[in-house]
Amino acid sequence: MWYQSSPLAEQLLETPEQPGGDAFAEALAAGESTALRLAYRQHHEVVRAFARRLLGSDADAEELVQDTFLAIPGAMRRFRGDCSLRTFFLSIAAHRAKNVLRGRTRRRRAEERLEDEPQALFGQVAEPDEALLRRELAHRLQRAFECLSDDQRIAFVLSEVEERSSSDLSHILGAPASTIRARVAAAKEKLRIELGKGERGGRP
Amino acid sequence: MKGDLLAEATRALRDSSDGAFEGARATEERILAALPRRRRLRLVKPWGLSLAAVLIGSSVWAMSGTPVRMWIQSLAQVGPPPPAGHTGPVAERRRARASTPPEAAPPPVQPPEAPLPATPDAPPRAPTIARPVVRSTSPPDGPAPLAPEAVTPEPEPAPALAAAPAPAAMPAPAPPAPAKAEPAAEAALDVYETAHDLHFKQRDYARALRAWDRYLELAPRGSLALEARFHRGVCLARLGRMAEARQALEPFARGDYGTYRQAQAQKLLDASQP
Repeated sequence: MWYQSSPLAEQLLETPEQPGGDAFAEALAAGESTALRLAYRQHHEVVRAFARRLLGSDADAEELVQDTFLAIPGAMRRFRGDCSLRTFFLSIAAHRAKNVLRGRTRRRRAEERLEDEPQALFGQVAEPDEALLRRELAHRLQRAFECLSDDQRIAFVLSEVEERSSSDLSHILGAPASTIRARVAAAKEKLRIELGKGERGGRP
Repeated sequence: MKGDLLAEATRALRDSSDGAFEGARATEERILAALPRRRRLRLVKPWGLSLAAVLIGSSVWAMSGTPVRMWIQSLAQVGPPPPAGHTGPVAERRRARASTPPEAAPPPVQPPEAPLPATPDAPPRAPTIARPVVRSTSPPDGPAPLAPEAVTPEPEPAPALAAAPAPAAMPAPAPPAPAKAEPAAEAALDVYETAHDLHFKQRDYARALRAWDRYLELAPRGSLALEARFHRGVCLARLGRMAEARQALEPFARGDYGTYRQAQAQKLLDASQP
């Protein structure tokens, strides 16, 4: 085939994982339901995964997913096409997540007792399986997120949990790479201390 | 050791949280159900405010009497003469106002002027899915024809697809989009998704080509039609049907659709030269 001898053509043919171009972006900006539906179907899992990792609650994650996709038509005027739509949607989610996090902080103390439940469950299992241990570990990390600022938390999840590139991080967070690195480093330091407390038997 | 624990916890969080969710479809429906309300609010606010300002201003002006007659007379001099026997609601209202002496007190209570037309008369709202960014070569719509003669006080209801538009007395709020358009859009979207999956995941270009064609049949002016046309051209190239591929991609390269996929199409065409 002709394209097999042309790396450029091959690259072009392989490129689109999502509808691209001005027409789709304009349809999204206009709030066309078809375009928004397609955007949701192609990107909701990425946004939801980020929301769950960041917030640790399915209900909060779902709220953030809804909020993010509803904000797309209004936000599209800021889309300049210098990053993928997926990255752009994540930037909306990251921005909106701060509102959810602020609201959660107020409810947090009341929920802490309920969060001990997995540990109680852990105690009842004679031979806990690996999956349960890992879920508990993930849960501990999410509780330790409480010691972070919103910016540190979002940067840590995107950088360390989701392993996004520094270019993506800059697009999503709208901050220079050096700032993001500093946030992640500070977050890791705090998290090590928090997780260490848990290891020593203190409350994580 | 603590660093290892953090790394392990990070991996655990990554592995234990994904985006799969059984209620994803329900969330999608909630989002789309909430969307029209927000859009409507955005549309209503500026229009509503402008309309209210115009109505208040014109009412205050009308109360002063004399300027109204002068204004109407100037309109009659400037505007085209109404057709003979024209008794449409606008003309009726103008005539009634012009014949009212300035000293006359306004009628105590009047039924709403120019009652809003029934739904079938209202101008149809543009469908929500058919808006590709294509430079249209068709001439713009001509001026709206005059309203039908409204001699009888209660005209017969027009058929649903009557060509006569509503009288231009007041801008009627756009009716909601017809519900029957949604299943068609949904079906087209399903086909688009299938085509996309066949093309980019399964790489079954023959079936993908059929699916792109099907989508274009269902939504030839859909907001994703251009994208589908481009992918169709790529499929043809993948299948080695180069003449058809060039035919499909050349409009993009020529700039018939603006810069949309223009550079990509041009590069593909360049690369396809023997």
